[in-house]
Amino acid sequence: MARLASILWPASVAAAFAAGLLLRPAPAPPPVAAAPSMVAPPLVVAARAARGLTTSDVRTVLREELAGLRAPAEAAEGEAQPAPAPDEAPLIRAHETLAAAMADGRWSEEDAIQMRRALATLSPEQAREVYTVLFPALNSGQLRIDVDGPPL
Amino acid sequence: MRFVSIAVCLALVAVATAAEAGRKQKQPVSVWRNADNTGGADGAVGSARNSSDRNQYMHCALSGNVGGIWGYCEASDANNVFGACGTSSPSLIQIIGTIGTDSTVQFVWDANGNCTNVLVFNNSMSEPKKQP
Repeated sequence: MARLASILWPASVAAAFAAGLLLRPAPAPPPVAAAPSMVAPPLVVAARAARGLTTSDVRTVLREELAGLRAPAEAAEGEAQPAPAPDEAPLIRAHETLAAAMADGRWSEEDAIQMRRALATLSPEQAREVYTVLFPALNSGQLRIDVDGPPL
Repeated sequence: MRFVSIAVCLALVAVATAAEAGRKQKQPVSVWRNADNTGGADGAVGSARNSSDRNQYMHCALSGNVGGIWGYCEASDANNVFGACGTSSPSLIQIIGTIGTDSTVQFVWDANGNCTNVLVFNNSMSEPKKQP
C-alpha cells in the first residue's frame, strides 16, 4: 500500500501540473499606445486580442464601424438643408423685382436698388437670365426709366 | 510805339497757342437704337461728366464672385436716350476692365441685350474730367 502511494503521488502531481499548463488562460494582450486617431481604444484592443485577425481585417472592421457612425449623421444633414438652395434666393428676388416692374411698365429707384443687391451675388449664368430680359425691355422703352441716373 | 504793341499782342497769341497745343476732342454720348432692338452707344467718360446737361453718362461695371465674372455697360445721351448691354464673355470683360476715368467707350448690343462689341480708347485726345 505504501509502495502504491509512493508511485501514485508523483504521478498525480505530474498530471496536475500538466493540466495546469494546458488549461492556463491566454496571456494578456500588450498595452496599446494611444494613437492620434479618432478610433476609440477599446475597439482596437478587442481587435488585437482576437486571434487570427490580420491588419487588413482590422482595417476592414474599422471602416465598417466608421461608415456606420457616419451614415446617420450625413442623413441628418441632408434633411436639414433648406429648399430652395441658398444661392437661388437672389435670382428669385431678381426675377420677382423684374416681373413686378414689367407689370407696372416702369423701372423705379426701388427696383434699381433691389436689383443691384440681387445682382451682386449672382453667378454669370444667373445674371444673364436677368439682364437678357431687363436690358431689352429698357432699350426698347417697354420699361420706362424712372430713375435719376443709370438703371443699374 | 504802335509797332511794339502789335509785337506784344502777337507774342501773347503765340504763347496762348502753344499752351493749347495737342489735339483735343470732345465726344458727347451718343446712343442709337434700331428697330430690331439692337443698338449701340459711344462717348467719352470725361465729356459726359463735363456736359452741361444732367442726362449724359457712360457707365460700365464688373461684378464677380466665386462663380465667375460678368459685366454690363449703360449709357444715356443728352436727350435721355438710353442703351445698355451685359456680358459674361471673358474677352469683353477684359476690355471693360481697361476703361479708365478719361476713356472713350463704344459698346454694341444684340436684340437680347448681350454686348457683342466693346471698344475702349485710352488716348491723349479724350476730354478729361474737370473738377468737380
